[in-house]
Amino acid sequence: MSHTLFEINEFLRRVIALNLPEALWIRAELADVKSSKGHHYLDLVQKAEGGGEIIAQGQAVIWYKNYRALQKKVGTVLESLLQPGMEVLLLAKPEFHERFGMKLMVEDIDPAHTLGKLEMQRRETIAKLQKLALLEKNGRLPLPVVLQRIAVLSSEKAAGFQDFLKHLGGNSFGYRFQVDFFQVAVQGALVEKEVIAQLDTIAKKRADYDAVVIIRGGGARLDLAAFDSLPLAIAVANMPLPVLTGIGHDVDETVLDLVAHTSLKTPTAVADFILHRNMSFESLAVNLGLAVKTLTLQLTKVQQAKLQQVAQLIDFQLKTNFRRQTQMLDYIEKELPSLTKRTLLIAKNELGNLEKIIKLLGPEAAMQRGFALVFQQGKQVTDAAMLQAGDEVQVQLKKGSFLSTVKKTTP
Amino acid sequence: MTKQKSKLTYESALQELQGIVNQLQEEAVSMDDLSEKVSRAAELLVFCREKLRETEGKVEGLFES
Repeated sequence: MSHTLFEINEFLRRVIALNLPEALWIRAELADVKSSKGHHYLDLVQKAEGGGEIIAQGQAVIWYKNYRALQKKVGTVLESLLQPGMEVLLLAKPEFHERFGMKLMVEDIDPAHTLGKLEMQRRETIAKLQKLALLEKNGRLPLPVVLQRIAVLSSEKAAGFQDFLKHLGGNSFGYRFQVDFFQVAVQGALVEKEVIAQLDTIAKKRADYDAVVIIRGGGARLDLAAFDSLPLAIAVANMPLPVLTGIGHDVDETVLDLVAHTSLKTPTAVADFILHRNMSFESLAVNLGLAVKTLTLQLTKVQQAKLQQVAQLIDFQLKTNFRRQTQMLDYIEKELPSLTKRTLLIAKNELGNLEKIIKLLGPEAAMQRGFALVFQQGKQVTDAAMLQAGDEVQVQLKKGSFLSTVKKTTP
Repeated sequence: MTKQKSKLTYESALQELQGIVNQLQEEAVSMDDLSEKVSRAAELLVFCREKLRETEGKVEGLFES
C-alpha cells in the first residue's frame, strides 16, 4: 500500500496542528529577512554552541496584520530587531501546509530577549578585547594638536553626517578643514564589512589624515548593535590613526566607542571637540606670541638702559678728553713765547761773551800793552821772510804810526 | 706745505708740537732754526685747536639722550 504526497503532507499538517495547537516561544537567530507587500519572511537558524555550524534551520512569517500590531506594541525597535544576525525570541505557531511545508506564524516578539543577548555578547566582546590588550590601543596614539585633515566614515544619507559637516564648516573661527568622505552602512549587517574595508583604505593613506571620524545620527540601542562587533572593534583598535566616534547614543557606549581614541555622544559633539582642540592650539599660539612680545619689550628696555649708560660714559669721556687736549694746547701756547725768549737770551749772552773774549784777545788790547802792528802796502806783516832789506813798512802803535825802512831780516 | 698740511693729523701735529717744545726746553734749537720752528709751532697750535673744535662740534650731542 502506498500514499500520495498530499496524503502524507495532510497527515503531517494534522499531526502538527493537533500536537502544537498553541503558539510557542521560540529562540532563533535571523539569517535573512525579506519583506513583500507588508508581509515579512524570516529565515531562522540555530548554530552549534561555540561554533558556526548550523544545527537547525526554518522559516517564519509575520503577516502584514501582525506586523502592524507588533509595530504598535514595540515601536520602531521592531525594524532594528528584524535584522540578519539578531537573536530573537518569537511567539509563533508552527503550521504545516501541504504545498508550502513548515512555517512558523509569528504573533509576538520579545525585544528584551534580544537586547539581553546583545548585552551579553557585548560583555564577552569587551572581555576578549581586554584580553587582547586592544581596548586602550587606539587611545594611546598621539592625537595631533591641530586636526584638519579628517577621514569621515558615515552614510551620506545620515542626518548626523550633514550636522557634522555644517557644524565644522560653519565655525566662527575661520578654521578650514579637508573632510574626505567614506561611504559605509551605519546600520544592519553590512556595517562590519564596509567599515572594516574603508578603514583599510584609509590606513593605506594614513599620511593624508590627522584622524578618522566614525559618525551616524541618533538611533535606538538595537540599531547600534552592529557597532558592538568584535572584528570591527579589532580593526579600529589597530588603526594607525586616532579614531573619533560620534554614533549618536544616549546611555550605553558601544564597543566601538570603547576602543576608539575618543568617543563622543553625537556627530555635532565630534565637530565641537575638533574645533575646541584647534582653538586651544590657536590660543596657545596667541599666548606664546604675546609672551614673546612682552619678553622682547623687557629685553629691549634693559638693553636701552645699558646703552644709555654707555652713551653717558662716552659723553663724559669725550668731554674729559677734549678738556685734557685743550689744557695741553693751552700749556704749549703759554710756554712757547717764554721758551723762545729764553733761547734768544741764551744766544745773546753767548754773543756777549764772545765779544768780550775777542776784545781781550784783539790787537787793540795788545797795542795797549805796547805791542805794534806792521803793515806793508796795507797788508799786515807777521813773518820777516815776507820782507827784504830796503822795504818800506808802516808801524802802527796804540796811539799814532810811523814809516820805517827795513835794514836787515832774520828768519 | 699745503700738501703736507692735508696729510697732517691731530696726532702727528701734537707730536711735532711736543717735539718742538722738548727741543726748546733742552736748548737743542739752533738760532738758524729758531724762527722757523717757532712759527711752525704756532701753525701747529692753530691746526690742533681747529681740529679739536671741529671734532668737538661733530660729536657734541651725539651721546646726550
